[in-house]
Amino acid sequence: MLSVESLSCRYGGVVALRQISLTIAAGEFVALIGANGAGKTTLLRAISGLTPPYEGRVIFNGQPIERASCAQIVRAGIAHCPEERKIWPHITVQEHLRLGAFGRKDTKEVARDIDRVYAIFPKVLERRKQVCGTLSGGEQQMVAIGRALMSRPKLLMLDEPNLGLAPLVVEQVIDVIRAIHRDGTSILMVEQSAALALPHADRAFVLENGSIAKQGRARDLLQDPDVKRAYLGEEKQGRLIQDPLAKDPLATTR
Amino acid sequence: MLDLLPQFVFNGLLIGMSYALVAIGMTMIFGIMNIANFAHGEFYMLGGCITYFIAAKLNAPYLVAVPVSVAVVTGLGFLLERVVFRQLRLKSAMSSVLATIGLGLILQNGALIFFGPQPQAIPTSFSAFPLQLGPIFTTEARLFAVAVTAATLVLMYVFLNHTLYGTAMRATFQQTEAAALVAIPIDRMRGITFALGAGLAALGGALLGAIFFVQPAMGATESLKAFIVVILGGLGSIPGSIVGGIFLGVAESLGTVVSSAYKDAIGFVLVIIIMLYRPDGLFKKS
Repeated sequence: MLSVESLSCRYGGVVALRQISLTIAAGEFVALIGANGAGKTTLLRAISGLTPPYEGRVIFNGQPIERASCAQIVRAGIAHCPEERKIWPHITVQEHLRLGAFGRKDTKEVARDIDRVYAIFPKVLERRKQVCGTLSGGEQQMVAIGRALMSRPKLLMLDEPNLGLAPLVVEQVIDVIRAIHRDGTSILMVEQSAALALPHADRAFVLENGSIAKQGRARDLLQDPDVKRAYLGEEKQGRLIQDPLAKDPLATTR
Repeated sequence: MLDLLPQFVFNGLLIGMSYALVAIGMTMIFGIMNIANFAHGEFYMLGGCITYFIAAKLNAPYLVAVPVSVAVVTGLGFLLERVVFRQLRLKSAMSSVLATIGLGLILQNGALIFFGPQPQAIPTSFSAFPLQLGPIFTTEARLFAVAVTAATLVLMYVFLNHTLYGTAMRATFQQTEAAALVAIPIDRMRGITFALGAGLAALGGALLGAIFFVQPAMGATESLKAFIVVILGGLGSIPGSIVGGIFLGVAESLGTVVSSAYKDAIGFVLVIIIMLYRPDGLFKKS
């Protein structure tokens, strides 16, 4: 469904991504893990059109989209739930969902989809008239995911959806992402924590310094000694900080 | 003295609402494009001068001249965003700001060549006789300006808060990338914002031009005043601009009671005080 071919990105003169190639099949759950600054976010930005690539191709359902605008890419069926949520602080929950469908013309279906999102996130239904700046981090994340769903994506890209959330909320968010995946949406999830991403993914890519260092089935990568050392925090030299209070010893806080 | 108070407040309200018209555009342009538009007052000037040209030279009725001149300046704003600011977007913000200063000079001097330097009165069919409303003396032209401005501000409010397009515009001010990611056409939003801002300023010039005089130099002061209002109201805050504009207008008007020579200084003193105690502006939500 999505195929990225020899994609490179630069910020000014700095190379952020080097010759990345990967594919995602319809209905797949793919995890993209790597340390801070490895290029995970840049890859999502290149696919969604926020940072047009320097070279290489992005093909989505047979169409080249590497030079398309964000709006065209959203309409083609790729939604990008950006890092740090990027909600609009003075705009209500309900308006977030409505704006999520800005590119759609089928107003009646949009109203139905808003109800569907509320069914997935009953908590934000209670807050629908509230502006999003007043919501908790978890609620904001749910609004951000709901907003992304409103474009009816075939591929949903999530950039660290668990960042800064309490362990219990992380579980809820993961459950929701799995439910969205079960309903047939392909998922590309960026995570620093392999422990959070790999157990749910079909396949995974490990990004290091702008290149793909490893790839394979998620369950194989979970057993990979290098991945364990660097991204599961087992030897305490990874980038994860263990939270002794967390219910799940692998859940991370920052 | 106290019985003159309503009169001063009314006069301040009239001026303040025109400040608000100019400042809303300035604050919207700042919010969506991150540019302090130093040419913004020139749209106010052009609104006044073009209205004068249509009404005095082409002998069209004032009520026709106002919408035509607003439409012309709105179109000019749209064009300028396309031709100038869209090209500068990927350059540093400073090049855009410098471009606004240059643009202001071009517009002002262009108007000087076209309209001449002398202050002109826009001919209208309004009666010049004063009207008395309770303790307030006013004229038809003033009442017309207040009514049209108030209606425009209400329309702007409804547009921004109760329509999908207006909400999309606010979303673009607040978090541009997130707006791009839901297929809001950012470039078109910038164009519309710039055009709308120019049109609102032009309306201010066209309305006040029928009460005072119009001349090519009037835009520069208006830019500074709008700047004060934008700072008072908090950068990027539209309700702040409305309240800030009226606040400045009334403060200046009441200031003339003490000394009319220092009228223009009042705004700057207010800004200094507010910068000291409320650096985010009077109405900015943190």
